[in-house]
Amino acid sequence: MKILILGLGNDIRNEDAVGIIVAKKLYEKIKSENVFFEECYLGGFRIFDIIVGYDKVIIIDTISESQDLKFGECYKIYYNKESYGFNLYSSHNFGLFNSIELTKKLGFKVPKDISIYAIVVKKLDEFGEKISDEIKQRIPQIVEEIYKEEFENARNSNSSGINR
Amino acid sequence: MKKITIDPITRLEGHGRIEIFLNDNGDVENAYLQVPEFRGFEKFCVGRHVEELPRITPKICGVCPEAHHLASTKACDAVFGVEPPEAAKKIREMFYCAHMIHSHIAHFYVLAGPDFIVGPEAKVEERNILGVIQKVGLQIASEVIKHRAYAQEIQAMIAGRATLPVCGLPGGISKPLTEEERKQIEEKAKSCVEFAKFTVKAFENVVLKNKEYLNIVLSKDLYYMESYYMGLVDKNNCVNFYDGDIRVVDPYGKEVAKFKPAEYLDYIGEHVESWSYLKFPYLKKVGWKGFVDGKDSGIYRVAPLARLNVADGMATPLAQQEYEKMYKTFGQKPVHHTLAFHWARVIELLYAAERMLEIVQDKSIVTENVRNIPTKTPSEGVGVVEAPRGTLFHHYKTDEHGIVKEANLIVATGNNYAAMCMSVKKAAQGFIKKGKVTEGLLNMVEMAFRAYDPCLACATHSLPGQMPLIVNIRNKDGEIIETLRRD
Repeated sequence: MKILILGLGNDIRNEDAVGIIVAKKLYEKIKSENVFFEECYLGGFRIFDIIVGYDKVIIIDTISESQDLKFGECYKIYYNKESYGFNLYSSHNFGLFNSIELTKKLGFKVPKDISIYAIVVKKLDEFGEKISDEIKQRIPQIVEEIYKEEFENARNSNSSGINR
Repeated sequence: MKKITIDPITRLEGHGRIEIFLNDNGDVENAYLQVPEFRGFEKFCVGRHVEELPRITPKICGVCPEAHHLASTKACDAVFGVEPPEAAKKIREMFYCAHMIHSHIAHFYVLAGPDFIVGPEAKVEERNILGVIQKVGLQIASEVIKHRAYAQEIQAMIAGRATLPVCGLPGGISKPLTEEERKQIEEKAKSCVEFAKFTVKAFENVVLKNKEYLNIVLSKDLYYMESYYMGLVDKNNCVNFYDGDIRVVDPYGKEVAKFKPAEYLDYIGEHVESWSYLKFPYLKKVGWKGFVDGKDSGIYRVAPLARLNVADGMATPLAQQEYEKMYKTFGQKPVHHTLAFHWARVIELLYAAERMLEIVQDKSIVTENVRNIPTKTPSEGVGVVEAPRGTLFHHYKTDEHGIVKEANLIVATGNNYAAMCMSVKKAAQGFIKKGKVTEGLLNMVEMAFRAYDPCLACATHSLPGQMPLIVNIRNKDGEIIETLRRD
């Protein structure tokens, strides 16, 4: 099985880089000839250019802190199909779900299993290279959490981040 | 492991926001478009070595990193006072044509296509790429994907990787092109020309031959603005994406300025409004007169239609034919119809493909001589390219060691910000009368947005890939009387 670990984020937007750092560490922990690592700062369709051809994709992203989302936590994300099945507000992208559906229709190999994780960080509206000590300390634990979820717990379930 | 189901808005830092203010009669007095914007990029550049910037600045944006890479590389050429060899300039331009092809295909088929192919009146859940496929069939959709991929592969071949390129260096590029690579690009370029021809034809069949759609494009009500236009032109005053002088024409098509990139501060000012982090560029010599069009207002527009409006023609034969057809249809130049941006964009797609083929068939690009090593003391430089969404300026000042002391960027979409606000106001005026909001306001605003193909950084890093929007309609006292939202 060909697996892609994709770190999503911008490494010059402070803690937005955390998804990339965690993805890289997870990749280094697994290191197998069937496991690949990519990082990118892209949306919708351009992400799909990267993930086509893999059997399984683990996307690790960041998300802004809010009332419901606790700083430093890592969440497995489920997007409702309906919530991003439409689009076209966007400046230039279109939704991941649409990308998946389109690519399936065109006969490309779509990953059967896509998991999406998001690490809660501080507000992401400034450029910089600062990562707080709290997040730095959490990174090894988060790597372990995702590893367990994907490669230990996954044996007992067939969960996917995309509700299809 | 905690698990949650979230809406796209949770990922983003906020909504795009439109505030509409009504007057005593309940008609639209003002409308403001606000977008979430990341701050501090210019400051982030200060203190770094200028040679790093072509690799850092593409990270401003997940949509057009290639444009930032080349504008930054050209600014570095200027900072070091070094001229790249001819072959390096041609390879950079070829890389950039591939980027234009990639971007314009995505915009026409994926973003604009739903409006025209599925239809402006169709339900929002059908107005997307899947709806387009339903109409055009799988074979054409496969061609769309194939040629987008070709453009991506060409960029990767030249630039080291398809996105976040690393090929540009002060004085040239990092690696020469092999004959084998040249041949591969030539085959792909030929195919891109054929596909661009098909796309122009498709636009003609789907939009121009449909009276209802053509009337929307030609309408002077909602999508019409008599502004100035700006764009790069070559020595023959033809459209060029990579290099040349910046030409400005007035609302009557008369050239009012033609200047070198380094002179941009003499011509462009930036107006600040308290309600937006984004600034509003305007023509200094005309002046900022508020959100109004016409000859006395310094608001100008950029991007495909503007580029064609400022040029005397296209530098390749097939694109030139289409250029002539467009102006003949409108019977005027410049064309002020905002939805004509879509038409101009497909003409540019054809030009980009033809130009890419022209360059790749020039065998002089296969040479080891692709870089002149800088020898002068670095100081100051400006680099300009035409991003898919308009003129992009990078301006750096350094100390004698090349450490950046100041950086100023005018991003492509920023140039059109004032015009986009005005388009939103017009759409609002058309759909709100005497305090009553007609259904369809959001769709009409969306269509105005899409014509400009705006690249708002906020929308690029979300998995859903869409910019949610809130429209607040306020009465004369500023109280919200209705809120429309698209999450």
